[in-house]
Amino acid sequence: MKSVRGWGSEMTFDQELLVRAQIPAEDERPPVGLRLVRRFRVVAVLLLTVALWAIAVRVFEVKRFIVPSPELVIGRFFDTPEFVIREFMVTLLEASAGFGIAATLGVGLAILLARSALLEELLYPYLNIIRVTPSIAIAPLLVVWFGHTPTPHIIVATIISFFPIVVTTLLGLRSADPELINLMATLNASPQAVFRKVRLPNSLPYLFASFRISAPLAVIGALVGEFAGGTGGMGNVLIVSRSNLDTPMSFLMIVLSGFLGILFYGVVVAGERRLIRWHPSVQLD
Amino acid sequence: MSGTPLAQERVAARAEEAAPAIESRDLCIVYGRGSRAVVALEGVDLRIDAGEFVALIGPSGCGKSSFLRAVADLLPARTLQGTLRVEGKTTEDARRANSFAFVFQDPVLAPWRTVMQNVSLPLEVVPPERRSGTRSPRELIDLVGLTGFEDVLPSALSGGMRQRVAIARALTLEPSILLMDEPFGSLDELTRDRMHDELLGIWSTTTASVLLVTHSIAEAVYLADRVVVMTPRPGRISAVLDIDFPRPRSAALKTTVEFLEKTNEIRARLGL
Repeated sequence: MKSVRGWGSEMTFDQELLVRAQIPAEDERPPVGLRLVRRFRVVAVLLLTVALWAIAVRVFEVKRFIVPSPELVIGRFFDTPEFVIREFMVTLLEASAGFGIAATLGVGLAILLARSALLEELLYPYLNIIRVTPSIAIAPLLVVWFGHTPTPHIIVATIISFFPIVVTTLLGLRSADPELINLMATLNASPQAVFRKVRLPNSLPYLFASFRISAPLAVIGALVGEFAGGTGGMGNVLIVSRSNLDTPMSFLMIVLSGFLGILFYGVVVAGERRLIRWHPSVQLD
Repeated sequence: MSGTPLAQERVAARAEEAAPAIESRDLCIVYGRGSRAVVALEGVDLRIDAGEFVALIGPSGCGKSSFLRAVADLLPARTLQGTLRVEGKTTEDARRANSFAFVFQDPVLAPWRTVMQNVSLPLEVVPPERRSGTRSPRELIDLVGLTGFEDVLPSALSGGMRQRVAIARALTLEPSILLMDEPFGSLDELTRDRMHDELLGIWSTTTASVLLVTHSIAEAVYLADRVVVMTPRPGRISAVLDIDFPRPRSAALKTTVEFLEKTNEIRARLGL
């Protein structure tokens, strides 16, 4: 007797059936060695690249202020670890604040535009202007206005990550199944109920798609802002290290900026997996 | 009055509700305006009594779905001409009173809600004072044979199971009228046959009237007290046939000569 889970048209559930078919055993866990290899093969690619880099620098005798060897870059971190961590945290906080503000304003504006076609008609063209204005051009101006504070950096991060959130969330709010909206109409549901029960949950996959784009953009925005002036942050350290020909520090900042972008992306994907488990994009993983 | 003694009893049992479930007089539906106007429905007179099971049948473009949507107040008011009353009220008032439930061609489930949450949706949306009645979602899930699937998402269900969820949802508020727009159209024949018997079983436990739009002659004859045959361009009623087979009906009916004669009669009325 083998237990076969009834499924589909026959409505049975956990039925005990006597079957001639061979039921495949549960997948066996692969041996420990293979599991370790699978887990670390992505990291192995990184290590291999770094090793090639280290070898190339030696073989071609590249000068350290052109391309430093990887151990020099890592060593630069341990020269002044508190300083590096502090500047990393500055950029992290500025990018987080910028992204948080962009998400709040962006979702809020998308909700407003979704409710009013007139408002969309009036505001949308100007949203596009904000979008095409290069933030690198606004950043120095913001520094003039707000001085040596984190504010201009946060504003650049906000501006750069704001637009994708508005556009994509608006699309999500608009693209609910019309028959589901009709169903709510036959229930005489209030507009608020339609919004809460249909439009909002329907827009969540879109919201997260926009966050996947916007969260790493916020990191770029914060760095661009720091580049343009003011104090603090990895963008600022980059400027200073370049003028000192401290190339190992420049490399360290570039690597850490990349790491920060991946971190932001990872947080969004983790949130997505928790909140929209029902969506095919998450179920496929 | 039409139908079998059983059907008449059902109707008579609710004689106190004087108004018919649905009544249309000279109803026309026109989409668009000017040179692009399309007449979807032309001068439809139809009266459906409380407790009756009526099927609308006809080819695509005969206006049967438009009629159903008009009854459900899902069409813009400017597209309608003539009179349409649901339990003596305007369609808008009937909708506000939650007099009817609509079952769509597709199940139209919220993919982020489990079976239980989908069936419970009307309870979340409609406040208690506006409900004519309530059936427990768990009981309804049992009624449509989905016990054990309460916490499953729609994406994990088969098409037939999803449609059963949609039917359970439609029954949650004990509507006095069920409007069904080709609810079994996308199902395979085996599932459809079983759904027919399930629907008849469910209907016999309620006092609801049913207006069913269908493409299938056999489905209409098997389920309904009356079959309304419609023809397209513009959509018109070409015949109304009484189906006098006694209830409860079972699948054996489908193989009888009388059943075949009825389907042939409808086929002829459809010009096939």
